[in-house]
Amino acid sequence: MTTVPATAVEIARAVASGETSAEDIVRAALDRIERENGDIGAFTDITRERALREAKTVDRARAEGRKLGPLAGVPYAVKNLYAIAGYSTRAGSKISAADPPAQDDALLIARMRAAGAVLLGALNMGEYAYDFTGENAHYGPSRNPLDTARMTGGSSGGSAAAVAAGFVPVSLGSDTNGSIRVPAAFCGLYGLKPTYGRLPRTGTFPFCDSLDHLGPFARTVADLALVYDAVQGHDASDPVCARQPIAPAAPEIAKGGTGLRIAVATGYFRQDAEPAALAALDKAADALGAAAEVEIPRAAVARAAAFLITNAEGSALHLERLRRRPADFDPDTRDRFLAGALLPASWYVSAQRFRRLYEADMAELFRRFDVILAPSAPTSAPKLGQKTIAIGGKDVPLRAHMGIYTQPISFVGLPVAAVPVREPGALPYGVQVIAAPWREDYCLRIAATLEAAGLNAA
Amino acid sequence: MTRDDTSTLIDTAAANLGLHIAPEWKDNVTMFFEVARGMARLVEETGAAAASEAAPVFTPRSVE
Repeated sequence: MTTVPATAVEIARAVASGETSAEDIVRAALDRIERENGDIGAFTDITRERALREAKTVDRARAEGRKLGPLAGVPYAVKNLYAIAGYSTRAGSKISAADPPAQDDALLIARMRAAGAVLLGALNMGEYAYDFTGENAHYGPSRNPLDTARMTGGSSGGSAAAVAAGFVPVSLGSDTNGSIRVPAAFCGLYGLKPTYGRLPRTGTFPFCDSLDHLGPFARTVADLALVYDAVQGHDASDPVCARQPIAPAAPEIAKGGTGLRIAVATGYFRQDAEPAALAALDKAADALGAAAEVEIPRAAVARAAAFLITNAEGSALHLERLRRRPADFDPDTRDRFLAGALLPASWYVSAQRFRRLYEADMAELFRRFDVILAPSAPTSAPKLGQKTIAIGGKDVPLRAHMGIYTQPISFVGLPVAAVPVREPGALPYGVQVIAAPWREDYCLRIAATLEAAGLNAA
Repeated sequence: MTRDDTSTLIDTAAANLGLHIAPEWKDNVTMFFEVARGMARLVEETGAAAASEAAPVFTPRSVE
């Protein structure tokens, strides 16, 4: 039996050196997924034939002496809102699962393939990405590999579960309001939500155009940077994608935090969290020697505006499906979409206008600091089926509160590395490492520093 | 606005949009609408509606 190296960096090195073949790596990974996925619910589609074909292509290239990509032979999988040629793009739904198969891969899948990575399949997610739990009425929940009675978080629940279970070293997800950062926190993973407009969303099923981002999950920061670097680059077919030059992050992470001005978010970001979530934040700050505190002004309003934009745009996107097939939606998303379809336009436009004001607020803070730390979620992973969480001594609806710390950040598209902090034997918490637009390198340098400090001790 | 007003608004707007809200879904839809109203109040209090350019600026692209 082939032993699959634990990280993408190690796999790519082993395949490039000929220590092992991509095919052996991929067969071992597929066999394990087919044995164990039923317990985790990470994959909704396994692309075995395609995976073996891609692996053989990598092995052939090596045999012919051709230069291999940086992800040669690395198995990965994608949230099932990424188009995969020959498969219907479920986007977590029953309705869209019946759509005709996609003709082409999503652009980021094409870029992963060009880098030598091997696609193993599509991953479970909350319906149409309107979710923080990882639960799904149609396909069952993705289960947290650290405790399968608990949530992965969502909506990129399968993307986190597949990596945390060790099925793949890396995966791709999406984040509109926290859908990479919350699952990364609950599953003890690193995640990157790049700057809004950094990665093209071409060929992915949208949720809310104004806030949708794509990004990777990994078990190490080096793997996170490796994938991020492989998928960067402008694409004009996503009108939001910025004409930013490719800025490789992997060569930067060894620089650590030297010279970076770091502050810890206080005020709004210290209210309503479990004490252990704040302890994790403080531990990260201590490891970085970050004594400065900063109050992010109007964060509650930013969260409110993100809520309105998401609700209105998501509902408009699905209006025809809501008209024709409301009973076929997951009940946990349907009622929110129905409400969102009815919002007055002035609420939406005001929220978009506030986005401009808040962008200026945040720019002012980033003149004083390079990096701001904040919690990823107010709690660790809740139990599956749980509907409320205790916050500030009160039980509040879980789904509405899991994004309280992530929404004000993605609202203005700031890059964030999600970093796990875990005490031995306990569930992990997440810390957001936030930087100014286009400074993903700062996020990953700090993430690597925290990783090296051993803050994710299992 | 009273709960009855909200209920009427939801029924009327849904009918105008061609949306069917089953009776057993109505309480949830109403609750989410009320949550959004609270969120909108927070945003409106900032004066943003008259103070700034909306974020989604449209940039025409040249024909290639």
